[in-house]
Amino acid sequence: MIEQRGKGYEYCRPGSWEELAAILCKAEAGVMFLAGGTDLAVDLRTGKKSCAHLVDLKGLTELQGIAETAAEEGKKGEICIGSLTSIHQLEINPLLQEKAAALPEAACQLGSRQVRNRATLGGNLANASPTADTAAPLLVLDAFLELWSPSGSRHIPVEDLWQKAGKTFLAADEIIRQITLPLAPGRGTAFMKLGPRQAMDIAIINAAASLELEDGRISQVRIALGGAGERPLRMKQAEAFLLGKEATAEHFAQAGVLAAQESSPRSSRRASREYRLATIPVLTERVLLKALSRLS
Amino acid sequence: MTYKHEGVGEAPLRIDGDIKVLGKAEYVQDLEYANLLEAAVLTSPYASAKILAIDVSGVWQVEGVKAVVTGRDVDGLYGTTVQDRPVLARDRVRYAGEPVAAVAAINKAAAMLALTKIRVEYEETIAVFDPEEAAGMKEDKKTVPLLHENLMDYEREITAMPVAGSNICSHFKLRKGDVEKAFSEADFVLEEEYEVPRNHHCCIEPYGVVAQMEREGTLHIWTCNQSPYVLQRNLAALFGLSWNQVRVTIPTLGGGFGSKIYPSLEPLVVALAQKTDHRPVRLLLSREEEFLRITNHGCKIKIKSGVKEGKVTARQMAAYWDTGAYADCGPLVARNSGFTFAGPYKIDNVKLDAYSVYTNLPVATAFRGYGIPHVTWAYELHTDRLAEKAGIDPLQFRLDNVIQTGDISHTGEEMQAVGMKGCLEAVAEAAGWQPGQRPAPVDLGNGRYRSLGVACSWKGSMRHYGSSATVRIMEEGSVEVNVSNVDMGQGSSTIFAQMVAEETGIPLSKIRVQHPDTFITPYDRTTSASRGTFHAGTAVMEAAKDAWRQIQEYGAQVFGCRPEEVKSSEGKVLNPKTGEGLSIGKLINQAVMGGIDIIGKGHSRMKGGTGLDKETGQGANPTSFWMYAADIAEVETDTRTGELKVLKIYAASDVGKAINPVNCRQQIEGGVTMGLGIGLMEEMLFDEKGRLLNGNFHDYKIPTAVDVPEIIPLLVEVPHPLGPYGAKGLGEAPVGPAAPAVANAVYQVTGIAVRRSPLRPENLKLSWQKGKEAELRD
Amino acid sequence: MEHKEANSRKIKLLVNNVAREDTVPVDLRLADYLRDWLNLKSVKEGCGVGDCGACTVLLDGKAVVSCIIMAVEADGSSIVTLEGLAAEGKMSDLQEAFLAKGAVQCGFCTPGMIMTAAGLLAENPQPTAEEIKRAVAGNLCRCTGYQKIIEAVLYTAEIRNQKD
Ligand SMILES: Cc1cc2nc3c(=O)[nH]c(=O)nc-3n(C[C@H](O)[C@H](O)[C@H](O)COP(=O)(O)OP(=O)(O)OC[C@H]3O[C@@H](n4cnc5c(N)ncnc54)[C@H](O)[C@@H]3O)c2cc1C
Ligand code: FES
Ligand code: FES
Repeated sequence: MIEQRGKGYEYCRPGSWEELAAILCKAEAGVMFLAGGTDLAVDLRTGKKSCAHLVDLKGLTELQGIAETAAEEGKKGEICIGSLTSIHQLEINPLLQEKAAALPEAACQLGSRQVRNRATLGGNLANASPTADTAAPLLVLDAFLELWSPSGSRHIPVEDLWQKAGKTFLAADEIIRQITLPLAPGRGTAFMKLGPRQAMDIAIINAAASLELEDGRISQVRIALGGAGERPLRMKQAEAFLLGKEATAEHFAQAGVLAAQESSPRSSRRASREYRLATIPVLTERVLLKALSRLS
Repeated sequence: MTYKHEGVGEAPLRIDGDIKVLGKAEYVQDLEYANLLEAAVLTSPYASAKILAIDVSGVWQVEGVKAVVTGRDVDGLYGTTVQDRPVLARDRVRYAGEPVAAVAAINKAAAMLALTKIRVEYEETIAVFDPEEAAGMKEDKKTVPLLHENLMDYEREITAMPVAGSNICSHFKLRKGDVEKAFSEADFVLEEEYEVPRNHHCCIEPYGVVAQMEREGTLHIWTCNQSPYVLQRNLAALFGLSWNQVRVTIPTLGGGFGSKIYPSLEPLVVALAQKTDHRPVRLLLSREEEFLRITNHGCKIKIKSGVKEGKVTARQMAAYWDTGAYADCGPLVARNSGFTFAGPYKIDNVKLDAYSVYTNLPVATAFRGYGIPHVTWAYELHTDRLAEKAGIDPLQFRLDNVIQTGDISHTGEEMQAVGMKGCLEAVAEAAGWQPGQRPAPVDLGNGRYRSLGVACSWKGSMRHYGSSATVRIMEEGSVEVNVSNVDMGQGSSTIFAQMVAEETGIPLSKIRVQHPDTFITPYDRTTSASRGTFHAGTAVMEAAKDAWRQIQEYGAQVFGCRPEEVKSSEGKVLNPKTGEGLSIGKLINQAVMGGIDIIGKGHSRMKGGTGLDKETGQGANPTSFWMYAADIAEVETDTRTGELKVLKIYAASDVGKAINPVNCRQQIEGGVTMGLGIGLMEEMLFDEKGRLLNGNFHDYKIPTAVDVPEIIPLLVEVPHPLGPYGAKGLGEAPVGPAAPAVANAVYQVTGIAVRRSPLRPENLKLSWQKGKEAELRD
Repeated sequence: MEHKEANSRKIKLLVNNVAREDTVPVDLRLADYLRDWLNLKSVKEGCGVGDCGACTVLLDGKAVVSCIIMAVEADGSSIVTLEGLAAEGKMSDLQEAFLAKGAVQCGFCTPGMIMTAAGLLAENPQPTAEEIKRAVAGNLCRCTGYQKIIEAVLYTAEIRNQKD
């Protein structure tokens, strides 16, 4: 049974970094950040989470937006995404569609339209679900994160964010400020999701791949899977296998088998370990084929 | 205003449509009351336990608490077929989720907080969850705990046939011919086992009830229930009131699908309302609670058939219906699906046993089709296996075997107006499947194939029960239709208004159909079994005819002609001599100087209905009418992941007469979608302690807009001699064949039978893997 | 006596074009604020956790589920509920299309469904059937099978485009 009211937390919506820093320095414990609330509001209602201070980040308007920095001498171009950018914005952004297709492809399959209008990229990452739909694309896009806390900011590769299901390496007063995608012009990327229902479904397995070819051979490859372990994972053995090989369906199928070998999925209500292991090769193979089809 | 006829056979706008699109329709959760109290219910965490002690004294520490009840406060038992159910658990609990105590307080938060102050001491006892095991029919587990030790002492309806000293609350039998002999003479015999697990109705409106003991001595209850009169009578018996003291008011319903036919939590809310000094008490369930309130049955089915020269000559079946901790309508589900159990086929030797079995799971009740989705799953997948073994195209095999007008049914009924073959022919033509020439699967690459599957089904309504209606024509010319059939979305109000328009010529815009209210609208048994149009519709039609007769009599008096010469035109009454039209008001005024209403009365009475023999299940007229449906599914199967994409469903239903073709198509589209949901993705999951694991829309999946294929509804009309304008019912039959048609299409691709629904990708993929391994071993 | 008062906060917002100012508990859900405080009963509750879409409203023009948003989060925004679509009680073209195409049965999902469709059409005036299906995938309907709902949205778009 669900208790709906009377949780008794403080709510605030800081409008500046100074204000946020002041709140965080004053609050002793029990701070929780609120972005779109599509995970948190549910968890607070069902009692899965509780807090003393709910700090709404939506007052920091600069946390929203998608911008490109063009390539310069000695520096690759980048796309910077504010952590509070909604999933819907990712889905319809032409820049991302052109240069990082796997991300909008994942975004448009996340939850419902109402959820995507509200849910944020930062929230999806910070919630640390092993099947978070934006995680695998960011892994194959070599994304890195800018983190901020009152004591300063730091950068980490997205891979280093997650500890295990539901747990990140973020400090209690630390937030994700920005997600940066280094651009690689010759790259093809793709995303795929396997779920019992064709919409509005948390993935059983999701998969992303990015691929570059040189002289018909694979010169760069990234494969990432959600639902294959305690956190979203890069499939490094499968990647190593493919590097330097021709991009053929057979090789992709072999990479799929390797991916299953380096996965350690759990059994959950959503799917058994056995089924996940049975479908990882298929998804890996197919997402690679799809990435390949985007190269041209 | 321009006159619009909008009678029978047309498709006017739904008469309650405008308030619904404007957001003004009032469901229970929208009703407002002065001094309203909110209820909350404490439920059992154990599937089976003794209650050693309950201490509720703590609730009074919470500000705003006004009443608390436990099983000790309410005497009596209730139940639809077997009176086995206490309002709140008394000495023991029989499922996880059973109400143990309830609180009413000034708001929900206070009521919820108060629940945490109640101390209950339980002693867990052994539970049983598998219906076959609970029935004592599993060889290795003959001794099982009994859920109801006093089973034989309970009051019960004749349709419940319990087995003493067991968990079987009813055993329905049907015996026809000699199956053993037919099996021995058959070309081949095939025996299989199927299973459909529990699933849920998932009305988008969660259950809500408001009850008030009114100062004037009446009990008034507002609830989203499909059968106001069943509830009235149950509540009257439980609380020692006469029928005319119990007022059941039904506001707009947000879906029903069987989940709201019988009393469920209403008695509990009344028990609270008795303690609140006339203040109304409201219980609104959360989605999680709604999942536990009531569910659909799970069922295991054993089926064995003999085939000789391409004809099914014998069929033996056994079904174990998991009815949960209390019988509710379980015995009726076993019986009513029982006599349709062998499928819409002419089979001369039939032996059926259907057991309704208690288990320590939530109470199961009626579900759109009353068991038809389950039994259709079994006999239609089985039929494809038979056709395969006989080497005959499955469509052709069905056409060769289906029951037709004049055939004798499994209970000995001479069938009339049978549209089964018509439905199969309609879908076959639409899908381009020539009987005898099933298209081969199309290879789409990377392990994906497209194929077609067919399935058909029939459904009896129920034994005839009465319905009454009145039509009140007011002097001003507006009309009120009083009928207690509940419009829960199927559009019955619109159909009734169309019938009145048809009979009186009064435009639809002037006709209002009342919300059912036992103080206002006359008796109707239930809104269930697709019986609304047939029975309540007959009552409304008769009432409208009666009202029109009275108008004709006044017309005869005023115009000086014979009554039958009086006709209506454009909403007016025509003077046959002058051809001039007179408004109804003016006519009444001229005839009797005004001041009266014209009240037409109508009843649906039917003669010749029979029961079914207790030992043989034989009876010549067990149901007022039959419904028929057939589907062809076009499916894309991904053999590597187990994913299915249903592309198209051609769905035919024999409706007798389409009184409103748009409504008919809605019923087919909605029914097919529901059938696909339960066949492809829906399943209630319980842990080893009988606790529900997926009681929310996040984990229990129903189809979304993206999951639904293109549905092509086809209306077949084989008029029923007794139905109003020839109509039959429609609500339930379309649910049956959709999922079996899909399963049959998938089987054509893989050749590996998956006999348990739902066909979730995981179930398919892993079954195929196991099937392949088994093949390799053999 | 035990009864915890939740903290309160003042909010200012536009609801169906009417300016509101209220002091609300910080854990009051937007759905409850609209239903219980403003009597906007078209906002339905079917699940309370964002899965069914019955409580959908427009927040700054975008469809959102009001059961998992707190009223305080809506401070400074503009909300439209189904009541706000019918200007002076006159049905909008979208509502008329739902009625005309037979997209309404029990009606419980209808307000949320129409609001999601309204949000879609505002952003994408010429959606394909596939886009409409994706857009309303978060609005569960147990009665219709969705086909007539898709038709109603397509039809509205068609009529609007003819007018332009
Ligand atoms: C109906 C429904 C369907 C869904 N379907 C999917 C799906 O298909 N796929 C999927 O991946 N997810 C799905 N989700 C989950 C959810 O929508 C996403 O995870 C979403 O992206 C979370 O973002 P948010 O802004 O709403 O996060 P919030 O709920 O606001 O926050 C989530 C967590 O992240 C923390 N947090 C948020 N922002 C930051 C930040 N900038 N820095 C540090 N910590 C932060 C919060 O403190 C909280 O712990 C679904 C949810 C619902 C309700
Ligand atoms: S009630 Fe808000 S989504 Fe279901
Ligand atoms: S019309 Fe009933 S849920 Fe959609």
